[in-house]
Amino acid sequence: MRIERPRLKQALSAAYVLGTLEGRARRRFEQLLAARADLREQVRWWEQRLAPLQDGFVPQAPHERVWTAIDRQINASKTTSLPTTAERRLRLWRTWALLATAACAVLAVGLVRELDRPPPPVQIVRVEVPVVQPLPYVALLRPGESEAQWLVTLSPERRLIRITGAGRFPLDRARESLELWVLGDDGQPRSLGVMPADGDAEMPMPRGLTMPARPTLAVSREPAGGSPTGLPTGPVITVSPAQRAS
Amino acid sequence: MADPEQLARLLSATAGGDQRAFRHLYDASGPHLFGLLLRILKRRDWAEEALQDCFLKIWQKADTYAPDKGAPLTWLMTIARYRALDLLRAKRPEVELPEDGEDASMQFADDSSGIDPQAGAVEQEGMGRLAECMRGLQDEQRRSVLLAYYEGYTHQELARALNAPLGTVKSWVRRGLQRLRECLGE
Repeated sequence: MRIERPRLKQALSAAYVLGTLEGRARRRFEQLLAARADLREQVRWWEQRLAPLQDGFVPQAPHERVWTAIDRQINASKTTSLPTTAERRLRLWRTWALLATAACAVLAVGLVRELDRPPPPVQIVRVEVPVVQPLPYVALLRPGESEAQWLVTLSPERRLIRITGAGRFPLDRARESLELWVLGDDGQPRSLGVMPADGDAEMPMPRGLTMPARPTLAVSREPAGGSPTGLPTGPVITVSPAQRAS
Repeated sequence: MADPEQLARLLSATAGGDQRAFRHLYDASGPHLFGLLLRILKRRDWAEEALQDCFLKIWQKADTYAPDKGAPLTWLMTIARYRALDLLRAKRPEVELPEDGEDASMQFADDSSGIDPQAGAVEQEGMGRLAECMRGLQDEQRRSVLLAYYEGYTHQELARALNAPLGTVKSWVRRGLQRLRECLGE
């Protein structure tokens, strides 16, 4: 294939994008494409010029089984291949999700036990009286890899988060931040903001955040200033359920 | 149509290994890709297989998306279209073009001046410009190009569909693309 002639180069690229470059010629062209930036540029030119035709395809909802198969494969491949950075993060993310699930299960068991036990009459009265100023949620967060620990108090009614820190968490502050998350009933993490590596802090609760029925708090390491995606991207260093203080 | 900024964010989070973002990406773009795959592959089981292949590829290659590759949905649909073409040829090898003469079919006359590709996305010009250029094609050229694009037809399938000799159909496609190139490149 005398691919150096510009007109031929264009023609082959066009036929490749359209799909009329077929059989052995298509496969050879694909091999060339991997090696030749000029051909990739031509191909991209055609892809973009013909892209408006994509509007002519009518969207169709796929069956849920397709997602099930995709989900199974991406989770199966993770355990058999060498971890890349993304996969390492993903594993940490999954560990966190498992921990959170476990935390919820522990809470649920506790709740069931509470329900099984006939409550003393005094408690029934307490439940039925409307609480004017509900007690805050409290969680004690202790990352395993340091002496640091944080007592986090969430007061949804006052839209306030108070952090009381003890010990110092080793962190390269120029490059990294710690971010506090609340994991909702749907398992979706929502950022509560960037928190100090040591010392105390008070910060407002993010606007629009509603407290889940059974919140779990977590702290992740993120790039300085917090996660760029709005979801945890770095390792989760500690996780704990938050409970109504009593 | 899915919001491009949202899709770009989801792609970026997917590149970071965020499975939840990946699921949202699938929900937002999957039906578009599936519509394309069904149209080209015609069979639901093949389309489902291809959709699965596409999203596994997207999961692995989300980090290679860059805005200069076009709008996110365009990029995703492009992946799907190539996958559909490959799968179509693999499932139906009998329609593959005979090897002889394939290079010759790609030869263009070298007399007209070459038009170099311009860098950067031009999707904003959208259907308007492309439609205008499409109208500039002869009917047979336009039908050949559109059938190849939307149905994934090979030259032989085009020849059958348009009831014309193979050589004639190849020439319609070739000249159609050449005229599009000249029109779009101006």
